[in-house]
Amino acid sequence: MDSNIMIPLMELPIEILQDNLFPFLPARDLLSLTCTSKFFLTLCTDDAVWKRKLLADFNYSGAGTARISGWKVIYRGLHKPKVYVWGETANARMGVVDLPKSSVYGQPFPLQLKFPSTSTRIVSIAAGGMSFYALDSEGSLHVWGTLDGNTPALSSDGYSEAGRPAYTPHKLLMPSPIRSISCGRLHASVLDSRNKVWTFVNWGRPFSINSPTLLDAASPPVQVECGWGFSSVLTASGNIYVWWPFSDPLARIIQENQQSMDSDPDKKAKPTEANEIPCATYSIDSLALTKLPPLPDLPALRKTGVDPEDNQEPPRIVQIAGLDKHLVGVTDQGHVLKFGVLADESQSLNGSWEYLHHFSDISHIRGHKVFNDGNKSLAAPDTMKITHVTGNFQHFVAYSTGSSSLVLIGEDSATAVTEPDIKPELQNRSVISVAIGDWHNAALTADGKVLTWGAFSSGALGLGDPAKLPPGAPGGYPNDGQRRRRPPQVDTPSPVRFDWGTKEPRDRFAFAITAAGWHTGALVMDLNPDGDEDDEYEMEEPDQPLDPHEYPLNPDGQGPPILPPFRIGIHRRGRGRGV
Amino acid sequence: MVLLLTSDNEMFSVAEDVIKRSAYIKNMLEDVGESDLPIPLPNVESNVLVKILEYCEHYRGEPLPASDVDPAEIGDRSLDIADWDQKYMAVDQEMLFEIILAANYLDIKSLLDVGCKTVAKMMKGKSSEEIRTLFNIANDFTPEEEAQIRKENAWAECR
Repeated sequence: MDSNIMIPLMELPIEILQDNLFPFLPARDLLSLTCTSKFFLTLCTDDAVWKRKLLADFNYSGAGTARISGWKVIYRGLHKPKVYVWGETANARMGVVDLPKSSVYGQPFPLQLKFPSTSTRIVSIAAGGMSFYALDSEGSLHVWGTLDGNTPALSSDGYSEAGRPAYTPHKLLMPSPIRSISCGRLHASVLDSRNKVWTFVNWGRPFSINSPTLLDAASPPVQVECGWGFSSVLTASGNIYVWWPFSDPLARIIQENQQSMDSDPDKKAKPTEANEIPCATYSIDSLALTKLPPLPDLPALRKTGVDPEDNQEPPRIVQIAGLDKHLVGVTDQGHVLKFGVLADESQSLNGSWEYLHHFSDISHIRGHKVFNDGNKSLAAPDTMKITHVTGNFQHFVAYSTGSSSLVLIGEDSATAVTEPDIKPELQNRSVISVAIGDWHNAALTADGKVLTWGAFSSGALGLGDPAKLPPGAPGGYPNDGQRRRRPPQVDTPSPVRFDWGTKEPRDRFAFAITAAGWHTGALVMDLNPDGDEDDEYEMEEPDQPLDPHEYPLNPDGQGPPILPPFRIGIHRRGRGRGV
Repeated sequence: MVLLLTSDNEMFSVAEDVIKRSAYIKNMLEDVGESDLPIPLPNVESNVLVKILEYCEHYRGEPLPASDVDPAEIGDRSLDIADWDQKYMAVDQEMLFEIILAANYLDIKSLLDVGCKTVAKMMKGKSSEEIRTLFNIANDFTPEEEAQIRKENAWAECR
């Protein structure tokens, strides 16, 4: 090769190398280039390069987490990610026929769920009210559990019936690859690679909504988000469109389509022997989506770490979280707002935005009691910009990112004067995702730790079999010599281990979490060279019959039984069976 | 016809529908309108422009790609290169990088992609040492540093 090259490779502009050349380099070649010189080491290790590679090679966007670094580690681990689930076992939620041995009802520690094909790489997981959805690197959806355990279904039914359980993971055969998932209680909506939005009220017959507002190329959908009974889409320009699968007019349209498809045996969506569900899809063209009103006037926020000069445009919503009957959004400038009531279309027309000062404005945060009770170890933040919101049922979480990250917890009843709940254990430790079940919570940190707190909820905290934990340990029985039926509530976010099925203790790295109802899930990587092996558990003797409608007592183990974890009768009025 | 003036002061007269493959020129023509004045291209030498025009000429009449397509999101990342493009790219490294630079400057996305694919194919399957030799990259690591960095990056066999 000519040694008098006028333009060597490293003289090309960095943008060309990173934006145009590196996307064409397979990971292996990119790593070889990384090792050639200090210049390429810096250039090839750039987070933006690996973030882009994750999306291109693994369909992994990190959506739903606030991760801002560590993409190369994730890429490495995604060669063989593991799926873990724990908590309530009813409705086939754990996705296994036989459960590991446990001294209590439920699955009290993370259980590795195995997929039929060893090449399946799960990159995203979402929990529905009684089920799980997982997205693989090819864009296929896998489901297990029961979409709606309150409706009866015969074993001869196909997945055109919402009550048909999937006892093990089933792959949905959809017309195009899926990019992201969001779950309501008894439905889910997903966004596909062509920005089409699909909604599931059963797994066999998803429908797409052909609304011109969702097809606007200038403002494509950027997030699909479900509340308990509604679905919504956030567009690039900050508009939010909502629809209600369980109330009219959409409920009637769905029912008509169901009835007309019922006569066609090919549209029963019966599973194949390979546990695949051939989806019979249809589109709904005639539905007018409800557009939420514009935001109220919002004050400029100070000390966000951003130059106010950069905020010349009016604030627009950049992320949303769906609750029971409310929706929470965060603007590009860090304002947190709540919209409600979203029980159905007619109520939403009277709904309004409420600006939540105490979740947005640092001057309020600095005045919060957690920073002012003489607790010297927790310093009030100097700057704050809320960038992410998540939510489920009655709670939402607004959080900022980075090493001085804040996690602000609120309820769906929050108003302009409500103060957030601030847990000291979650502050300043790079929390990138918070998942919320009915009575339990989980937080994920950028360095791969999962922390849970809240009610025992059939093991949804995942802190271990209480009989095997030392008395007084989080998730274990109290240290007072009295054994109760359930371990007490855990108030301090406590770390979850993912090595209950290995012989030796293993340090594992979680990169995604989800929670709903009384169950929790996580995607976890083992960075050791021999980390590809599957976990093994001591299994339960077969077979103690479980009544899927038997719910445990009050989560704190005392007092009378509480209401069931899932309220019925909201969407299926009159069909409740008193569970 | 559009007049182009290269960095070495050569004037080229090019059919408008040929040079419109350059989004940079296309936008300029739309902004400025008809003009007798040559468009200066201070970053492109005449020998490179000849090569660029050969590409534009070959693809004359083919539809222009949609603008604002993010290469990471859409489109193929395969290293397949059409036969004609392969022959076109059979040039020395200096010209290859000149073409990439000019395609970037003139905003000819498809040509930039073909250029980068060509470089990627040259690297494919090669060791760090082979890549250094191929592109004349000086190894500025100490032996200890290099051993550590190789260890950290010895993965990704599956994909």
